[in-house]
Amino acid sequence: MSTVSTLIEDYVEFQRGIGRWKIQIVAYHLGDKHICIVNNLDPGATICRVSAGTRKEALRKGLTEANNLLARTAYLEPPKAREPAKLALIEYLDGADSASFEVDTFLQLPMDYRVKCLSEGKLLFRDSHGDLMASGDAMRCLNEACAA
Amino acid sequence: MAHHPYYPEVLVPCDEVALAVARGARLVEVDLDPAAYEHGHIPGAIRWDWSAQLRNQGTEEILNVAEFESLMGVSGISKDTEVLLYGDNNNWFACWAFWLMQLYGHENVKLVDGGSKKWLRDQRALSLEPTAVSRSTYKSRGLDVTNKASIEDIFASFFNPSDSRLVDVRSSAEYIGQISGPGDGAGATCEVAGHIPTAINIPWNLNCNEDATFKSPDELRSLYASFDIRPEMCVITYCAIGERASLSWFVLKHLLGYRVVMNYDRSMAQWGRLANSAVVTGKAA
Repeated sequence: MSTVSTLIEDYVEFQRGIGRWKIQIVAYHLGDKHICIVNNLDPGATICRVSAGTRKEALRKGLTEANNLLARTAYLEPPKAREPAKLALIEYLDGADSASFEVDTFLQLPMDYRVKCLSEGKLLFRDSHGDLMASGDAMRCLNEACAA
Repeated sequence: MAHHPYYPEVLVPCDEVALAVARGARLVEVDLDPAAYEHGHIPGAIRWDWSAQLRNQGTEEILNVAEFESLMGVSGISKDTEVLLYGDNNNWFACWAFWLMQLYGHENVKLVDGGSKKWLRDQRALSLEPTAVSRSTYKSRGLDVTNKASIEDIFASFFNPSDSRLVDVRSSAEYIGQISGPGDGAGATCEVAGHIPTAINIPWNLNCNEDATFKSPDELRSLYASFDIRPEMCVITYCAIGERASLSWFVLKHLLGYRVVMNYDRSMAQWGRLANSAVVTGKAA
């Protein structure tokens, strides 16, 4: 056990907003330093940790750095809801071994084979109009078909 | 001695840390921020830098067995050493280190409940001096990947909706694709926004109280039951890089005793790079 320990003094924590982010600021005095830690409340990451000779300076440095770092994470507009496509056909593309499967047929193939097909990234998915589907939507359809 | 009221096998309350260190436990602070330790650490703690010491620097994968044994050796840890882990970011990276140690078969490992956040809030004393340790020799029984999900495990879960659950433990903004990282401005940024198809969103912080300690067994059981996640299921947790997911893995595996729980290490950071990377945005899973 280390023999020298130092007491935390003047501990405070408070919240404020930076743009769309809610942040928590923790400040305390330890030894000859004032420390400022800035966390975001959600997801809960520590954004920065700085120290300075005075509390005022530590808070100024912490908030400036937090501002800069949070600005690097862009907030995107929420995606628009759309009608979910229905998976109709699965195409396995592998030269001479290429094949097409209807959903029920594909789900009757051995699990190892289905997992291998997905892992290799050689599948194309088509909806009932023959249009290509996003693989994320297709995998959700496969999951729903298994649950049915 | 007052043990942890709910989970004495795997958690040590802050009150008990000094006693544990006095009886020979090795206390390790596991941080993402390399400067955190120098800004004050629990007296007696050594430091592991998660990015530089717990990841293979070439592959970004977990340490191999030789690297793991070397780290344990320089940390003065032997096969039977009691290890207490804690750290910044609500113990995320300490949970990840716990998961890693279990992969290599180190059984006597615990977390300091609440980690650095609770310690600071309680205004307990800190040390500014590094802790010296004597080297030891460590021989692992080797890697057991039972608790480590592979990409194949993720794909297999798509075909087992009644027995498997894929749990995205990030914030809802990350899950629906509004942001692609936890907002710390560096690292942990996913190359694609959104979530893995079929995943349900149970943010990691629902497991914790405001001071970063874990909730009671009744609260945790009720949380997972409300999402129809049952103890007999195979549960895979993931997040942006695997560290928050290891906290939820820890809860399900060690606090609630679910049988098959796997952490998908590297999580969205790896998933987003797959050739057929499948991602869904929006709320519907």
